[in-house]
Amino acid sequence: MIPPQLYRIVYCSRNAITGGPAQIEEELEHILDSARRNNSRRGITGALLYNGGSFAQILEGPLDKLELVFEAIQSDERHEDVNVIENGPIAARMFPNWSMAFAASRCPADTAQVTEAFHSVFSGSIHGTNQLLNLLNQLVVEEGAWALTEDALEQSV
Amino acid sequence: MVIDSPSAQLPAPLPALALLSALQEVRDGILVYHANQEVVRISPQAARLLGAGPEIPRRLEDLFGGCAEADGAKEVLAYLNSERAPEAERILALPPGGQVVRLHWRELDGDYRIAFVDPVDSAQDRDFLTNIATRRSFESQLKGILAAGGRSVAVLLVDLDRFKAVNDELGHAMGDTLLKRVAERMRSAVRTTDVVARFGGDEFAILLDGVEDASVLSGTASRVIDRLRRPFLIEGRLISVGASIGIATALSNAGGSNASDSHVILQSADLALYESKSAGGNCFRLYDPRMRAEAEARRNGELDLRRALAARQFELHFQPQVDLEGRLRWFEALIRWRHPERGLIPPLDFLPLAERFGLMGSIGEWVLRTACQEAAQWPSAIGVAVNATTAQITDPQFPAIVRRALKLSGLAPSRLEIEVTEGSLMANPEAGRANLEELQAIGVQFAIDDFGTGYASLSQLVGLPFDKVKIDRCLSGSEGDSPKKRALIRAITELSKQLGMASLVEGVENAEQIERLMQDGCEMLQGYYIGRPAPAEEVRRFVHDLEEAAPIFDEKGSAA
Repeated sequence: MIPPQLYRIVYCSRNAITGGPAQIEEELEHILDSARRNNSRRGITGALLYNGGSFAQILEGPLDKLELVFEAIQSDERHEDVNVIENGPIAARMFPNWSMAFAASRCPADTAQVTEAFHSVFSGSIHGTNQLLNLLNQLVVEEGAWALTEDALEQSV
Repeated sequence: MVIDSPSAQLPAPLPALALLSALQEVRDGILVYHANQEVVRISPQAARLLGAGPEIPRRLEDLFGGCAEADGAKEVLAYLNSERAPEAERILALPPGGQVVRLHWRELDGDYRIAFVDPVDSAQDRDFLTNIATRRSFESQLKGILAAGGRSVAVLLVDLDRFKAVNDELGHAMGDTLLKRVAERMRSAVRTTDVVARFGGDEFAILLDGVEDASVLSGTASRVIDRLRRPFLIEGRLISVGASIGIATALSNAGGSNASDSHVILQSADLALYESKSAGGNCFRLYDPRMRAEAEARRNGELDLRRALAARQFELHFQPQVDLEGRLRWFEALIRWRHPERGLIPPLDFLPLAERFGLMGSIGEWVLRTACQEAAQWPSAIGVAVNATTAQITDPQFPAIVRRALKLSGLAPSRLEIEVTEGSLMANPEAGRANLEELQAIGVQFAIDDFGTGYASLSQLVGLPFDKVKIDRCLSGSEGDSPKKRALIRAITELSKQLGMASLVEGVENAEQIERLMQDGCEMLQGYYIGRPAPAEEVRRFVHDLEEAAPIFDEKGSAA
């Protein structure tokens, strides 16, 4: 049997969760929880990056499921100003082992790079897209299976 | 004597449960449940409407757990379990196996609740595509609220921006999917008790009941706009639309409202919608009485224009175009409106209005016919140039209209030149090109007008088979001797020559300009210095005196 064609969609958006780091952390936990639950059921994998009030998310999987998940995300009021920066068929998954990996930059050097990448994405630069994809890949892979830490949130909020 | 008091026979207060045995008998759809979600009793009619089998379901979720999407199960259950049941709140539900019903609950004693289950004629109250309310159901709910009185109500009319383009480009199936998603997103952006309806096409409406605070209103409108401007992913394609919203509010006063109020509030919202569309879309506007006055003025303007067309108040003036030998070659036909009160009105003051009212087609056709008839009376060496709008040049009927004008007048096609602007061809290059090629095949000439004002795309010149390029006055005018502008003129004339097109410069106002333009390679001239636009009779007399198309200025460039 031929496996279904894989698609990937990458978007950036701005945080619309109000409140301090604690509330944001709580909401992020919820987001990740439900993403992981729903995604593994639907064969969706990907990664979420949160930094300085912005999200970047990669979603990959079969198109019909991807559309479902993306539409649910689009109706979510916890973020706004959604910019899709990449969308199309892919040969292989970037995050095959993650129903939803999470990355929040932990060291100041990362933060600066990610902030810059977000900035160029929101200002419409194509260069920013690649920059962000690379960073996302790098952060998730380098950090490995690390959990959400208060430390990371303090830095990224 | 014993008087049998009726009240003495009834236990007081009447326990809710005492009613229940009577339910078997009633014809109404009634559901009694406990606040802990247990179904206590259900009337046969309610069981039928909700699609319940002979075995009475034990809990609410067994009845409503599989409700269809638009008012999902969660929303229905949340409504039935909400803390209070305000007077007019209702929710539509489509239970599995049942039909579309309207639910409406009330408190009974001891934490019991009674829900009235009314059938909804789904064909008329539910939109077949999106499964949200229809215009009919929206209006009846609006009337209900207004009649009940005492509450403020808001109507938001939501119109998608660019939906037609999506539908045309991607097909109706994807357009339909998009409309379904739009309906879902709108529902997700409002409270469960708000009514979301589709009025038809890409027109939606939201009914907010009991909005006391303007910030709630603008918050809702902004949320809807934000949700709808987020891209949609459909069959792997990202689709972006936007939404314009017009809002009108009313405070319903008991006794003070009547049936026409719902009509007025919808009309006001529509005027506000018009404003947000005119502002470019992706925004909302709140109704303001000023809008009604402006709409009135627009309507008067429209009537005026229609009358002008019927009463033949339009006339054509003609401005000469000459070659470098000073020979008269073409007249450009320019429309004027001789208004009975306002005098002669230039085209820029009324054509945009005509375009908006959809009158351009009739006006354009009149111009073509009149211009051809006029030119047919001139010497055969002189042709007529007619401007065509975007709507005309992309209209599939355009070639037929042109052929008819030529046939009626007997004018040779090669004596008709159609001027189109860069922008109008960019609007729909395929339709425009097809029309252009069809007419060119029979000998009609084409000129690109106002070149240099828009994109001044040289590739456009190469891509489309024009016969003439009209270089805009902004490049040739009094400050036209700047080296940059002259270089641009030279580039355009040179390129035109190589592509076999004539070049004409507009806005020629003095002799020095002619000298300069000759050096820069221009082949034809038009402007006040050459000749002002003149009425048809004057032009007719002029060309008859001039049988042989003699030079109207000598070789040094000064007027004869």
